[in-house]
Amino acid sequence: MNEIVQYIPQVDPLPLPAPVWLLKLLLIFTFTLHLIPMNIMLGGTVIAGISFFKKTDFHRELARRLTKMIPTIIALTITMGIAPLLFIQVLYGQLFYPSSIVMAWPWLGVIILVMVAYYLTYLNSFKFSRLNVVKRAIISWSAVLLLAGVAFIYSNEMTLMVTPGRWATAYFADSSGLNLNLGEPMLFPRYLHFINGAMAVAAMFVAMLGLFEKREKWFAKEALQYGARLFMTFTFIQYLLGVLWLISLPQKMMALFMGRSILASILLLLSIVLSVGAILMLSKAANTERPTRRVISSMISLLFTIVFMAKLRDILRDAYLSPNFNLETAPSSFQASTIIPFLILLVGGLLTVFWMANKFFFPSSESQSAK
Amino acid sequence: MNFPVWELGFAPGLLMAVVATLHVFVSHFAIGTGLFLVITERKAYREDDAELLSYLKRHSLVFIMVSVVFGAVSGVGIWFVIGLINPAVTSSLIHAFVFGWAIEWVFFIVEILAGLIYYYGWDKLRRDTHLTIGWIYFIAAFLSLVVINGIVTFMLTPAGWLENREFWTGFFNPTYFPSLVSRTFLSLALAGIYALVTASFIKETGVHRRITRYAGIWIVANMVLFELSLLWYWKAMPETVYQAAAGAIPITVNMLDARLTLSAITVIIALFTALIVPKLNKIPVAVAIMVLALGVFGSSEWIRESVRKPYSISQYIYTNGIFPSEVGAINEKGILASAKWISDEARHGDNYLQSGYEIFRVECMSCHTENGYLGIADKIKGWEKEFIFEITARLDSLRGKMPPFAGTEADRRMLTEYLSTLAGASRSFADGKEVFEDRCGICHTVGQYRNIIPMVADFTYEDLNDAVLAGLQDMNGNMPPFTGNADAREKLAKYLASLKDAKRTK
Repeated sequence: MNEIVQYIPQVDPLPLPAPVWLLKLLLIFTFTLHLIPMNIMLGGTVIAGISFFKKTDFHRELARRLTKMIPTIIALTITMGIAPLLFIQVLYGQLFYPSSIVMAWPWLGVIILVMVAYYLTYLNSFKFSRLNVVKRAIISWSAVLLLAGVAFIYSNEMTLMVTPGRWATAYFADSSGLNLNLGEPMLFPRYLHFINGAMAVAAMFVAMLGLFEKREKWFAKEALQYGARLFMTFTFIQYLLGVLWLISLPQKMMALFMGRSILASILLLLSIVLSVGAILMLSKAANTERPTRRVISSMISLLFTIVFMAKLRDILRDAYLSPNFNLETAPSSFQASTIIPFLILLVGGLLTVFWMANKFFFPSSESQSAK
Repeated sequence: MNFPVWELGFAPGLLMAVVATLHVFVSHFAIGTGLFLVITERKAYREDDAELLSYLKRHSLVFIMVSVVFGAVSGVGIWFVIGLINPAVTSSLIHAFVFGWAIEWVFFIVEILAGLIYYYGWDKLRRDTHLTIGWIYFIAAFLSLVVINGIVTFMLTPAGWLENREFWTGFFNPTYFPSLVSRTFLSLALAGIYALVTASFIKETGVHRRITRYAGIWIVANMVLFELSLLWYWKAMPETVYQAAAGAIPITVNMLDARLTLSAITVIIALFTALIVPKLNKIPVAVAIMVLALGVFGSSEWIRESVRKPYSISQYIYTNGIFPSEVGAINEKGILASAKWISDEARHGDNYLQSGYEIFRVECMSCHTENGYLGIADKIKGWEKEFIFEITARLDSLRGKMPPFAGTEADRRMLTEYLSTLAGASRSFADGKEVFEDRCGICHTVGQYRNIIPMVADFTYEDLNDAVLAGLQDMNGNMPPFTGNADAREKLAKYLASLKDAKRTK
């Protein structure tokens, strides 16, 4: 028995309730649903924080809108985060639990940090008109700091999870859970890649705010231009950070994306092509009179890029774990009596949400009888 | 045994209790308040009551801050905590019920968004649309209880699931419906309590009185129904579980009384300050009622957890993450060789203390600490090494309802070496009663569970001192030897003999 396998817990005696491919599909699908509001939350708080320092009417208005929205986006992030947390535990529990126990205090700290950040953003949102700009900026940047801390803890946990070889040394040196995974070469490139990615997605969100603003044309135009500019900048930085991440990987993993794995290489290539396309379309849209189609196309390109990135991340995870941990050997069943109700309810639930959102955002059909 | 154990520095159960109690308190409130809001909103429209409506708007802000923020984050917090302190159990539950949770997640999405739209929609939506959103909120929130209740009750009464491992068998288990009903009343009572608190902030006397009374009705009626439904819940529990709570676990018995007393006090105070003299509903009074209610519901959850001992999922997995089905194999192979997270030094070395400590870590630390809450040092203070060794072989017979020790005799020796460093020097006793409580009381009681009186009734003091206590280990396989000194033995014999006399004089 080698050193690494020795500390990986035995597989749970209960079989997986669904085939691995289905659970993986759900994991990646729901992770993407979490990733999008999470990026807008983090990047949006930063963009609002920057806007407080700029004196133009546009930035004042942008900061106001973002600040009002961010608590709701946090609610979405948390809500959407639950499902991937479920599916990662059922698939990777043997790795997820030990690594989180090794760094238990920071991991638990996530809850506190999120809670405080959440209340801070609500404070800013509800008391917006009563706070001066300095106070707003302080609150906003404090929230950024806390959320960036949460992201850092996640990067530690997700990298520690795939490197079981590091667990025992850390745990037996300190079993009180005061560890991180700072010795991991890919930690910082990966972390920065995620943070900067959030900035790019939030930039797209700013452009989207412009697109959907029908009444205040001046704001719509500036938001679209500003969003496009930021999106281009952060996406270029993202390429650099991506290269940095790639070269921080062990030779064997790096090779996966350079042809050794056809799927990984194609997905990476497609992601780059799609994101370049998104930059071009968005930049063009910002300078035209009728930008709708171009903005929507660039949003869809970005969406696919995010999905592909989530899949690439998954490929990398399994490559790290091979051959010590192999999901394909896990016994599984097909719990049709719950999977089918789940899928039906998911569709029903999403339709209900769309119905409610429609009533809320487009109350035009409603007569204004409410007082 | 399969996973590392987090040495968090205090009893893991305390962390769980704090996070779970606060979450349960808030999440039940979130459900009940859904109904409170829509019913009260409709009442306000029907009676064209602008004051009530403006109160509701403010109340719904509190509602969002408490439920959407604290409720949601602390709910995720429970996931984090159980994964950290009891990974094996969490893994079992997630394998059995991941799609149950996935279904709950769908309801949760609808609930959170409906809650937010309800709050932000007061001035934006038509009245009927706003009410519909409120109903959607309440139904989604209630359905999430319908789901989670299946999993929580499963842990106590898995019943048929143990045989067929089928999701819905485990889900609709014997305590499912009584628990659902009592949790529903609990939710409605909590909705009343929160309304009482927000009402206590109202300055205008007329409105203050009206809303206080209204909230009072919600509290008193639902608290009474909650208590009645608990009787049904209690009946639905299997006898073995019931017995455990009824006498074996000392603290649970005290907690049962405390719970009922607290509940009665809460109802009486609420009756008085909300219904009879609503003028008394000042902020500190309302907050006090809320704290009392937290005590009632916290202790109810605590008892439910405590009667499940020694299992985390009844009959399926022990509180320390060991499966009853694997104990036999561990007894053969040894815990040091079976457990994954034993250091090389402890596994192969000659350092008995280190090995003993790590055995303690993987088998005991999921509940116990060295010196803190459920601290082991205090429980075995002054015990002789031999007594510790003998008791570790009988852990599953103790009144505290513990899992059995899994491992070989050599493992137990090493554990004993370590534990005896915590036990310290042997102690002296003031009288025989003290000896009884320290040595016999861990399994027996006087007059109740495993009653000692009939067992000693046929013996004189001399029999007890010279023969019985000297040869306990020969009586039947279950009794450990008495290892105390002669003085302790005489005191104990005298005490036991006096019990018999006390009985005779009755």
